[in-house]
Amino acid sequence: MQNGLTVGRLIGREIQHAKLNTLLCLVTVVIATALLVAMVAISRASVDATRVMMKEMGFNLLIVPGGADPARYQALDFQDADMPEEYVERLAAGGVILAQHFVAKYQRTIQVDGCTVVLTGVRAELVKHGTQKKPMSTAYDVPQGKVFLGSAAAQALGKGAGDALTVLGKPFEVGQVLAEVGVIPDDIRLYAHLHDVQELLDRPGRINAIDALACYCPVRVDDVLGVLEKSVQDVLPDVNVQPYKSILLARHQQRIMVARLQFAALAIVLAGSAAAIWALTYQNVRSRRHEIGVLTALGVAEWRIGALFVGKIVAYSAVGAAMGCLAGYWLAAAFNVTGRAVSPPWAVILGALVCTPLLAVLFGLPPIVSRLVQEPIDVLGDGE
Amino acid sequence: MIRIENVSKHFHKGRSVVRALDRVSLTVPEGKLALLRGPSGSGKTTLINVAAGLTRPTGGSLTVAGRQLERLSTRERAALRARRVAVVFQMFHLVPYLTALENVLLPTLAAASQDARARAKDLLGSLDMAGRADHLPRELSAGERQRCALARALLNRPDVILADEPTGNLDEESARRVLDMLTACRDDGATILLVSHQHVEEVRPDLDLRLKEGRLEA
Repeated sequence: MQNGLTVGRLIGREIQHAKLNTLLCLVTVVIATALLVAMVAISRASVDATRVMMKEMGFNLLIVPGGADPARYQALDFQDADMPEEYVERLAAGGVILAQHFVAKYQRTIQVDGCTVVLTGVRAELVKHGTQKKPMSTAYDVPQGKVFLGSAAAQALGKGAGDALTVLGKPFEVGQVLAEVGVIPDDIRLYAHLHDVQELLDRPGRINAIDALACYCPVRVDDVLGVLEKSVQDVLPDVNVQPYKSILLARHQQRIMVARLQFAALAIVLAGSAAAIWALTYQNVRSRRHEIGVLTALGVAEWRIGALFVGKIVAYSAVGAAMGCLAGYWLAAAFNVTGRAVSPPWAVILGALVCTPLLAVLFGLPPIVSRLVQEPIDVLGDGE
Repeated sequence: MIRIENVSKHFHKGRSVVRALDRVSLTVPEGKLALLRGPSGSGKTTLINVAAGLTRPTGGSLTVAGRQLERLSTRERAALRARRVAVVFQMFHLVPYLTALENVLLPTLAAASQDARARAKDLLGSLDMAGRADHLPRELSAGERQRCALARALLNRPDVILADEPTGNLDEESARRVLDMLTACRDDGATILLVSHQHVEEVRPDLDLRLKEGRLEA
């Protein structure tokens, strides 16, 4: 046993004595930290899930040759206007372009066995150089010699996977029948490798469309279309940029809204948590002001008295933050808002573990310091 | 030694000024015990607090344990209390979550000493408190609390003891024990200023002083 008393021993004895107060402080920190971590984890999971959902809506930019008439494209009347296949590589290599996924296509509406299909030659998706992105779920890497059939096309042609199909006189094997999208022309497309289609149509090295997925650009909704168009035309001045407006704007607005929602929720939780920790810490120190007076009267140095109080604050806030992080992550996983696994927000957890004790000490210091700078007798209350 | 020269302490309450001490001068030579008496509200506690450096006087000069208090910073006054000047409060001021022994050991936070624990036990024993060493203040009687507070004040063998009504809340037996201990300290060379409004002549004071309305009576 120590000869005299130590600050650590006093902290331990006070915690043991003031169990309810310590428990209240601890619970406050646990709740505050848990709310923060849960909020961030849930909000991040929902952002990720929404991003995936939005991505699954497909490409949101159509890049066509400069002379093409967009109205005729929409009527599936693809004209002879085309552009070099290497345009897609130039876009993927472009430094400032605000899109990240690119699929070069050559498409034409044709008749196969008396059915109207949109012959669509595609080559494997390119992603912007320097980025690591998973391919879009609507980008098909069709092997040469095979075709993928849209659900309506497969039904009309009466074909399934493994069947033979002759397209413009050339035999192909049906590699896959795609799930129904519910959208024309996608359900009546007949996908083949781009080079097969270029050969069938005698247009080697040419394409007549590039599908692209515009990434988030932090501009106002009203400006987004113009900004995207310019970013593409800075690389390829002789093309037209046709946005799939509803998908593009929905994605853009959703991102802005989620960012605002996340900010608002975080601000509210942070403010509430900070206020609760402040109130408890302030009350704890205030209720022990007499002790400060006694220790000062005995000649205990100010820094030791400060350490006695700060030590307790650090103890319960550090333990509370750790428990709160665990509880917050458990809550986020339990609610499972997105139906997908919730990953721990490590940066926030680390931040909470470091910042919560700092914040609690910061809140606790003013009442401690205000007592320490007073005349000891004013704190003790023994003046006559 | 305690030398108090023309010390005043005024408190402002609204527009009025309360003169708790009004140009008080006294000297308690080294190794002597001065008994300061006076009715309630006469300024006795204020004088103890000023002499202990717990509050600054409005005017005048104080020399306690060889240090001129008005020249010392708050930190230096605390250091003086930690090592050479002890205060016994009327209201005990024990820390509620520490046992009697731990309360006696509190001054070791301010100034460590090698034999603190043994001395604390000795002090409690000599005040007939050995059996209460592990009790919390709420489990002690008023007399026991005061004896505990006295043991705490004596732990670091102070040169000067300022005792404010140490027997004010005690029964006769407890009061006698406390006064006996203070007398023993005086006999060991400590300088003592004892404030009391009771009859405590058994301490055989070397000086018997009276304070009235903030002024020392001749």
